[in-house]
Amino acid sequence: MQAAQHAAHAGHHAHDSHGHGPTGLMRWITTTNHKDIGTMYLWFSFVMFLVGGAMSLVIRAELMSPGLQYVAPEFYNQMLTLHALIMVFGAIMPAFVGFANWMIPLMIGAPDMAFARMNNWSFWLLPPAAILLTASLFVPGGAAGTGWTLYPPLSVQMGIGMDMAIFAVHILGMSSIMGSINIITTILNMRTPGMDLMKMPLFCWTWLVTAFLLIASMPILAGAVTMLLTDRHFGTSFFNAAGGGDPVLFQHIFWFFGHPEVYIIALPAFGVVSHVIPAFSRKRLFGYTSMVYAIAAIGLISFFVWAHHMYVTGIPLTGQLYFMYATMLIAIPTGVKVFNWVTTMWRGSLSFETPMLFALGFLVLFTIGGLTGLVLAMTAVDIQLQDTYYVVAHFHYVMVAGALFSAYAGLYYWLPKWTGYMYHEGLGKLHFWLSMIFFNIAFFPQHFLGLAGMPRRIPDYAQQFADFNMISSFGSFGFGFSQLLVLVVVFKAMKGGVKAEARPWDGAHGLEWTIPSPAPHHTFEDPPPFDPAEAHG
Amino acid sequence: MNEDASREQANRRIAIGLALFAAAVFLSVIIRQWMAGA
Repeated sequence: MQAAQHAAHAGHHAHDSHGHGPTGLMRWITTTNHKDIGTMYLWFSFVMFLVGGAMSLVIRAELMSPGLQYVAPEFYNQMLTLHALIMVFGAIMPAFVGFANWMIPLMIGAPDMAFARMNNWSFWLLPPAAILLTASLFVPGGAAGTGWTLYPPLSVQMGIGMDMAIFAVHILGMSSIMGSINIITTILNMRTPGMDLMKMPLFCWTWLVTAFLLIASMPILAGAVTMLLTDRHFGTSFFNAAGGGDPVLFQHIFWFFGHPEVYIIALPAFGVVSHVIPAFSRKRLFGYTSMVYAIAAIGLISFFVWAHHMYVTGIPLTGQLYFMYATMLIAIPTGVKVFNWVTTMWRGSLSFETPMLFALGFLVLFTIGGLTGLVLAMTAVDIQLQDTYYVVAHFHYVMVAGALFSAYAGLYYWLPKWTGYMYHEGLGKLHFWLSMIFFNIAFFPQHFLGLAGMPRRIPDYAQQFADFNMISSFGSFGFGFSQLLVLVVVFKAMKGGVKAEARPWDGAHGLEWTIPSPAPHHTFEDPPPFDPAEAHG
Repeated sequence: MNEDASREQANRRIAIGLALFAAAVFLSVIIRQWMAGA
């Protein structure tokens, strides 16, 4: 009753607010509302997902059969680099920041993010960075063709497209750091009274740890690319061997950022799944406390394993052993999480709506990706598989099946709260099954290609790899085009349909489900009462 | 000082602390390598 009164109060304020302020485009440019900004993040990430996806189709078209078919090798490298940079920084990260913007204030009972105007700036830094990255294709020499790792010496030698990529990385880093400061401050200081940290929804915990990872790791990437820039234009020799610099130093600095980056992507995905699985199991999450410690442990260990990306650079044997064992250590907290998700489902009253299907798809495929990660952690094996398609298969199981499937689980789970209407369940399930089938057709054969020795980042290959490449390309085109179904589902849900209740999922818990659907423009202007029975989301 | 004002002040303190930490990480990466090469 109290919640309903509060919701009515929130709705009243929402109605009031729409009479004032800018409208049309200016509303979106000047908005400081966390829901508006969350929506913009999500649309931006989807547009970038389509752009990065189109680039991956260029790659797979070229690889459909041996020999050079459609693009020059330099352009192939540029497609590969931009695909990775756009997917990591433009699609996956902003998608989860979008979820954070929408849901964290609603989950903790805050009226908005702590720094609403900085939140606006964090978002509006993204489009210039995206334009810099994509426009670099049209400058002399083309875009950066180094791969997303931007390794010297190639990155020191390339044309102006490399500078544009460096500036884009700087801007994206600033956006991430500002967003992280906002998220940490909001979570630490704006929770409704009574919601202790250990009663907080798990999605907020994953974002709290992720935001600390971002603040600690993004400046390291910024430092690396700044030194790259001074090597290119100001005569320094941090990485330039001709001037006494060390190209391997760049790899150390890059991966000191790069490995936490993997968990920056994975942890919020864990958070989403930790809400969806209990909701559709009609049970509370098993082992909440161990989940929190596992998240923190994964975040911490991620800073101590970076050189497992560099086994073939000549690091000493003792170093290889240390990084091998440290990397394997991550399997323990990750295993705790997988165990807890499975145990949450154990003897639950399961139902398989689209969010649950995507969460289960995540669970199965991410576990496969995690296991191949353990294979690659072993130095002796990795030296054989370094830079082969096995690695490509591994990280796509982690990134696509891990992050993207989890993002879809979150999208379908929270879409009724955002639009006020239920999505089309049949289309949602079709989207899941097409994604699941085509994803595996696209990426599972890449394990075999890698084991057989096919190198990555090469537009041409030996005849012996032709069959699996054909299958993989077929799968990737199917996967790519089936993603357009999301647009249909979202537009249908925006236009109308079955009205969503405040709590459309009977197993869902948390403050976000106490407000009406769609969520009013302003919510929780007064801190809502917190029921400990609703703790943990 | 009312509750909102003290919360905003605490927000600012957290934000400034985090921003300084990020700046320190950025500068230390570069200065460390700069000194190593000097």
